[in-house]
Amino acid sequence: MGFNKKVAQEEARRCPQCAVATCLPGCPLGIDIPGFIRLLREGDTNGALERIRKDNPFAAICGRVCPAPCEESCVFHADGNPIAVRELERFAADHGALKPEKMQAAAGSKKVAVIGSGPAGMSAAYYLAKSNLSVTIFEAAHLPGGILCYGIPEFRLPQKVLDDEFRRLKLLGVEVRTDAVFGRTLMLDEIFMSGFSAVLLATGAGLPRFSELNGMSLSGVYYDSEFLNRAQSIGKEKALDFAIRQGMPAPKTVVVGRGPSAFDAARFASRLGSEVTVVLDGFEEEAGVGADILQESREEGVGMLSMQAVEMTGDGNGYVAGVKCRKLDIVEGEKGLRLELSKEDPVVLEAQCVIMANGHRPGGFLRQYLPHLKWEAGGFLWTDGQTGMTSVDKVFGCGSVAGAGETLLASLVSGKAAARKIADHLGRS
Amino acid sequence: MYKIIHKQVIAQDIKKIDVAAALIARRALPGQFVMVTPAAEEHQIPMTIIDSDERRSTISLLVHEVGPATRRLGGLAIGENIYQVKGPLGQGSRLEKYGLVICVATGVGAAQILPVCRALKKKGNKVIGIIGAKSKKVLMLESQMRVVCDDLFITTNDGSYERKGFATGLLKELLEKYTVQRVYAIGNVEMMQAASRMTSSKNIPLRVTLNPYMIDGLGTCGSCRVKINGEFRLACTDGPEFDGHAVDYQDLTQRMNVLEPKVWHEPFHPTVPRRPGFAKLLKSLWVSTKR
Repeated sequence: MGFNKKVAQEEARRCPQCAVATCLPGCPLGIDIPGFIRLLREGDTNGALERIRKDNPFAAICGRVCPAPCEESCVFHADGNPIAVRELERFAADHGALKPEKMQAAAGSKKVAVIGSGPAGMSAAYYLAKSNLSVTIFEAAHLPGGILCYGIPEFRLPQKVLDDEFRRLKLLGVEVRTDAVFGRTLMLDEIFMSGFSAVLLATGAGLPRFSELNGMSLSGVYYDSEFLNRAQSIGKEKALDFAIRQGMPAPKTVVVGRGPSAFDAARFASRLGSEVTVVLDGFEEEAGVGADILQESREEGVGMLSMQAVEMTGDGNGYVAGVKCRKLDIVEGEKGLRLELSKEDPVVLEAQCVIMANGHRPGGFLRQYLPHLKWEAGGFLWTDGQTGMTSVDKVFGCGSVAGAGETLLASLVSGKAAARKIADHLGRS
Repeated sequence: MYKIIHKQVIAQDIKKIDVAAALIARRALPGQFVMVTPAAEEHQIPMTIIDSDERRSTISLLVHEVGPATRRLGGLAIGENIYQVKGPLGQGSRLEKYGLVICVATGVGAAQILPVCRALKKKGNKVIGIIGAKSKKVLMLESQMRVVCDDLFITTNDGSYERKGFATGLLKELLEKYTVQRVYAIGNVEMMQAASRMTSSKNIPLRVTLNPYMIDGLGTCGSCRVKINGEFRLACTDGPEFDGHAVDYQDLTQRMNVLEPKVWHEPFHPTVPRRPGFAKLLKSLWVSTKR
């Protein structure tokens, strides 16, 4: 998929190039959106890619999985037909060619360790390498990429794209060490002893928020990251085959919850041949994903229901048999339509596989390993707003573990900011 | 990367392998485990580190061949490389000098109890070991356990070796005979539950090691969630050793089933009909080639 040249140019021509661009404040990375669209219109794909990569080094990833807040602030958004900025970015990234940036940190430059190779870690590593520091990424899993590798399925972000990004990072002199579990295989003092001047924690928020519903321990009940992680544990290229070999396909699947990972899991299950229903605790517009994902999911046969899950029902042998849900009635209130719990008896949706998507939080391991770290309410790592440093000296934090938010974009921005702060800190000391 | 240095058949379908893994061997604690991927297309298997040799920089693992992945791992020869070994993961066991300690294990749990017994003995405890096995064929690590325990009792369910009966029966006897300061139990859920019942009435602290289904062992998926004191904890990062009196065993029994995928109806697992008599022929061939 993705645009071809003709469609991309037509879409780029549709952009009115507003005198005061409303899309610019929409992008937290600050990409020159009208600028690169103008270059695309002129047929200069390479120039457009260069313009994007000035502010966003991971154009191919963002062109696929960015939540695209710029499209929401586009002047055409009110008409329901904004400029497809994200697709244009993807087109530029896929079709544009740039001379690979190759550099090597100068001898004797300071070393920085980045823990975790997810979006925040990647972004931080890129900008740290650019500011002439020697960067090593330590990744606990076998493949680099974090959520991009083990969470987001192949149909949304192919492994090849991710591999390309890491190849580019390595050309910048970034070293990636996988199978290195921070705090287990590799300790903090060891990292400092081997000559690193700063450590950046970008371990992410991967642990699902546990649900209080009854029956969560039944077989066949998964959390979203558990489901995707299990299927993609050998890498996502062979994930479908592997999931079938593991006996994961079920005739009927119910996904309870919202957010991008809920829909990723739903679409993955539907690719396994399952009949999938997403149970949303609200309107479809409140699903936490863009209209495009809703549209694609619907086209793939994923059903959506506005209900509230009450409990999982078992089949008596420890397997899940269904989800008991209460219907929601549409009520006209003062602020427009809203949903209210119906007084009808709950219905049971049949399912042999239930996926719970409750959102995520940072795992508890960092807290156990480094008890001196200060934590904020909500379970996020505290970092100093000025220096980006945590309560431990020379240890910094960024990404969703530091409460940057769950979107890819937020992590990229946070990684970029942390890289700048670390470079400042090391430049001063 | 992770070369198999030594391999030994210990019992039926059970092999002990020594793997070169310098980074893991130097700081493996008793009770910790590693996640092992035998080959690129296989999933990760959690495995207890039964021994680590810092000087040779190897760790010893016990492979119980039950599924395709473990069979693949057991099939690797000396000198071949394992695709990935990640660890050491989990918290180490809580070990102090207590006095008299009983360590009871059933089945493959014997592999997990061995490093605990060894460490307890080193701390100066008097250790009584109990191993329960189905039969003599699958009994393992007997000699190693004899070395690290002051006294070792063995029960087999079919009576093919030493005492006939269950490990829990023996535990009950010993608990009545001696004043025990602490009990460690590793094995199937029923055994640990029974041990919990026996020790709670006597107010003896109990530590159990749980083996729920794990995916990556890093605390990022929540697959190994177990209910401890009414709230979910992760066996991979908070455990795998927990207070035996706080575990919700009913919940744990359910979680242990997750490993076995349920076979749905026809369209999802089409079976190829075999010619009648084909299975019989296969069986006869297998018998004739065996000896």
